[in-house]
Amino acid sequence: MLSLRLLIRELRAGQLTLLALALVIAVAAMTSTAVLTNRIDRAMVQDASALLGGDLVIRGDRPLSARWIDEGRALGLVTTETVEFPSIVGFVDRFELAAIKVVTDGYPLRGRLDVAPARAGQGIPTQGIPAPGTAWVDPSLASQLGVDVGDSVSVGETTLAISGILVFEPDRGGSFVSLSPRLMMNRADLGASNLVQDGSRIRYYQLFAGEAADRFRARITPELDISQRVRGLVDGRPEVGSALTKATQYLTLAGLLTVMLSGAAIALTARRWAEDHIVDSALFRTFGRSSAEVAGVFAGQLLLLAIAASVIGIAIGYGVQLFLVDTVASFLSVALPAPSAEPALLGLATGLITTIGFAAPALIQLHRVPPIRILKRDYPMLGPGRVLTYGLALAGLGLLALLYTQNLPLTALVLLAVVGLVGLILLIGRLAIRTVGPLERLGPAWRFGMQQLLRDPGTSGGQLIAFSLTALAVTMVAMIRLDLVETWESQLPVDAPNTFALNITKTDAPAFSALLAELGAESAPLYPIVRGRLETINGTVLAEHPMEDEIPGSVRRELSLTEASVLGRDNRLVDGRWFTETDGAGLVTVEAELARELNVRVGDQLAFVVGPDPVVAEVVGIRAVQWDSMLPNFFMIFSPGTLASFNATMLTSLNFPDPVAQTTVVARAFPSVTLLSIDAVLNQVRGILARVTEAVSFVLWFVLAGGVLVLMASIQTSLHIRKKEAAILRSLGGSDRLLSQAQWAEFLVLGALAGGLAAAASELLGRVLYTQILNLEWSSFFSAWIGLPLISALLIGTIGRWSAREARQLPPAHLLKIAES
Amino acid sequence: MAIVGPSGAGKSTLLALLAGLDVPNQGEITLLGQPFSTLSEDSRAKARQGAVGFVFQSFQLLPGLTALENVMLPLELAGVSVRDAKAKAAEWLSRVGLAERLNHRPRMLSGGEQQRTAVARAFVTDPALLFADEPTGNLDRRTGESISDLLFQLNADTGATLILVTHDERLASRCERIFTLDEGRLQETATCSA
Repeated sequence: MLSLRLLIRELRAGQLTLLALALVIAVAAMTSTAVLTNRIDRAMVQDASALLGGDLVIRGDRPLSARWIDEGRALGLVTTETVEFPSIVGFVDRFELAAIKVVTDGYPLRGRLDVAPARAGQGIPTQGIPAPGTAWVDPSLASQLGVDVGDSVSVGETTLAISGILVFEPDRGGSFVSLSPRLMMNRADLGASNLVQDGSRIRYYQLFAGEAADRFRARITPELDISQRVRGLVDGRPEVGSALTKATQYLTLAGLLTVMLSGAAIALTARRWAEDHIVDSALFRTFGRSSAEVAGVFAGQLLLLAIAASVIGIAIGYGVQLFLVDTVASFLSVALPAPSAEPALLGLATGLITTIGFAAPALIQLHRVPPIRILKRDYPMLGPGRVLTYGLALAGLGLLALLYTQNLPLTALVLLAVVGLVGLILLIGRLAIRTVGPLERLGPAWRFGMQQLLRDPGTSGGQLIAFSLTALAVTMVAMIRLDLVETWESQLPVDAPNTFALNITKTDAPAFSALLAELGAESAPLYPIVRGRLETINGTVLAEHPMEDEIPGSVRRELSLTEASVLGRDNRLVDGRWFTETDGAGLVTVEAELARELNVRVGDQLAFVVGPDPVVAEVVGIRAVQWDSMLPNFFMIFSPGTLASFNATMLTSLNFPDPVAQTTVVARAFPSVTLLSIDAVLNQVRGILARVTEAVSFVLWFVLAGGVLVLMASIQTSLHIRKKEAAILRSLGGSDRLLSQAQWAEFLVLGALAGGLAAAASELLGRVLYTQILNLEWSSFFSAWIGLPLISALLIGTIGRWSAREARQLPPAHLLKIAES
Repeated sequence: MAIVGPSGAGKSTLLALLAGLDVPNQGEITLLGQPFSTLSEDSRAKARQGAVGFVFQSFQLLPGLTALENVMLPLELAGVSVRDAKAKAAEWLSRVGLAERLNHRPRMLSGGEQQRTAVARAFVTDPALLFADEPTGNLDRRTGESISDLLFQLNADTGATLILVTHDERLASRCERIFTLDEGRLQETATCSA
């Protein structure tokens, strides 16, 4: 194959190094970010399974029939059963109501338990379950009973030795309110406890895990009776999920930016490559090849180069993500799934699409070379039009963005931003180039340097665009990285709660608040909790009220109802109003998502039953709730006084400065109050954020590499003319020093201009990107206006002068030869 | 035959027209028995294949390829196998005196050596017709003479028709027929024997 042989010969001669490098970087950047996001996405699904303890959970009042268990096993699923019920746990003369969980070997199928060897100890990831005759209790139950590892507690008619403190349980669920302290025991002891009686409130959970979980779910769901419920994967844990989603979005954007920069480098180097091959193309025609055949030879070369570079890029991409993944993996509660082949295909697509999109104009030019060019170098040639050139590049970029993000609005936004920015920079850049004229008066070196810029404003304008886009991309990536971290941190402020306190009685409340103040623990308001069920909407029972879907699960059971006079800081009214001081009892605000599902609007009448008593309230407001704030949140908040007649306990969230010691202090002072640590979850989120930040910093290097390539490519493009001009200058008596200074002047000014343009553009792009895509707040980055031109002048000055060194360092005889050519 | 004339007379344009690299606005050109001026560029290219060779003033070697690879190129483009192309190219390079320089790239060759490589490339397809555009124009006199010796020697050996465009009267005088192009008119000004 001639194309292959020519390609190998050219590669050997070093003519394609930059083009190949640009392709490799584009593919490597795309592949590594794609593999990473792919693996994180899949891990998030698995993390969601950990929330359930399995991929699928079937809950019922009776054990699931053996037939279904056998069928699940036949599908290759693993399965285990847990049983939950409330019961009194006793130690000496203390008795506490606990949520008992009876587990069987194999539990949990997904996720892991953390068990501490003593009350003050740190939780350690643990395989297995409590041995027969033993139990694990959570820190709340331990502190309420005053027990520690080694003590024995009574559960029903049996006695169990405490062998560990249960610090973390993956499928404990997000509903803190319904939680009593936990005791976990082995299934083998259930019979002896004699707790399972007719009429006892027992829930059986059959957990399944495995590839076929979805198929099994589809099969079993229609067969279940009314008392049975299936729970499958949810969309991941909101608090971890939103952090990771932002991180993967960021990675995607950084990957796309790298491709764009590499694309610019590819376009520049390919153009130079085409110019170098105009004579070849004409020569091939004199050898008797048709224009289509000649184009075929060159297209073959490019295609082969694209494939070879893609393979290398993909290999690098997979290698890099290994490194990135390690930093992220340690903070996910499940192992990251092995990388799939999908990102490799994406990498290959990146290589081919960028080649076609950015290098096709060069090919078209080669295809159109008239053979007479071999004799007459100045014979006019019709290159591809601008519309075609930019159109192809844009189409390629758009296709990649779409493949990569699978998100049409995001793609459209990115493309629009690219078009707008390039157009704007083109316009301003051309104007800016003209302003350097006066600098010529600074001396001969400046004069030569500025003339270099002014002689061909088209070319120097093009360089200016390339450099400012580079500076812009690097700035944006660096800036977003900083801001993402800061925003994440501000979403999880230092005073974020680390503990939930439940079952606070009205009589205890003042003393409890006083103790918290004494300990320096900040707390949310105390919310009274009354359990109630929603019965009717505007007098119609739920089943007959028109809803878009079936009755939401949250109102099928009892809801936690509360009342409040102040709107929580993580709540936002989307419709109606909040309560005023003149409002009496009998008003309610509803969480927005539930309101939508229930088809409830402001002005509707809701009727609840609390125990035997009815509570009727009019909806006055709809609230959007930020569920991942870690603060107590409610579907229904009533106006003060509405629930006054009910016997309520209170709950709040609080932030202990020293959670381990202070939990014990509070638990001792208020034995009936349940304290629930959410520190573990918070730490997990913080850890992930820190690690993800590390990973995204890594991607910054790709963007930088892409930028440096653009710089080198654009200088390489002009190297031939530079050499010629340098030769003429030197033949006329110009010194090396003059040449060197002229290059300094040229690149410093170009760099400063590019930096200034980049600062302006980052102001514009940042606003769009932050507010439209990343949902962050944008604040002007004034230091960029000074820093960018400075840094960019220095960098472009140094790299530019270095890349153009060939135009200075040739021996004079050689230079003359070039001058004549 | 030689075509001579002052700079700007249109010698190279005439050569391009003769070789079918360009088409005339008026009139007709017949080459190798085919009406070149009415054929499409691709059909002309087809007709040129293997039948026409070129030697250029500025050599026009591909800088990334070695001397051997440059000479192999027209054969490879015509679909000759690599092994045969290599053998034939090596043979022609040794005929032009470059047997020791097969693997040198153009920039490592002197001007004379580059033009020898170009001559070998022109002859390697055994063309019936050879166009040379100022073949010694970029060379010093001695080297130029050795190149023209080589060109005429190979021309005689292969029996190809050589059409050269030149300023150099000494070179022109070695041709059988000399045409002068001046102010748009071509006149045969001399007939001599080689």
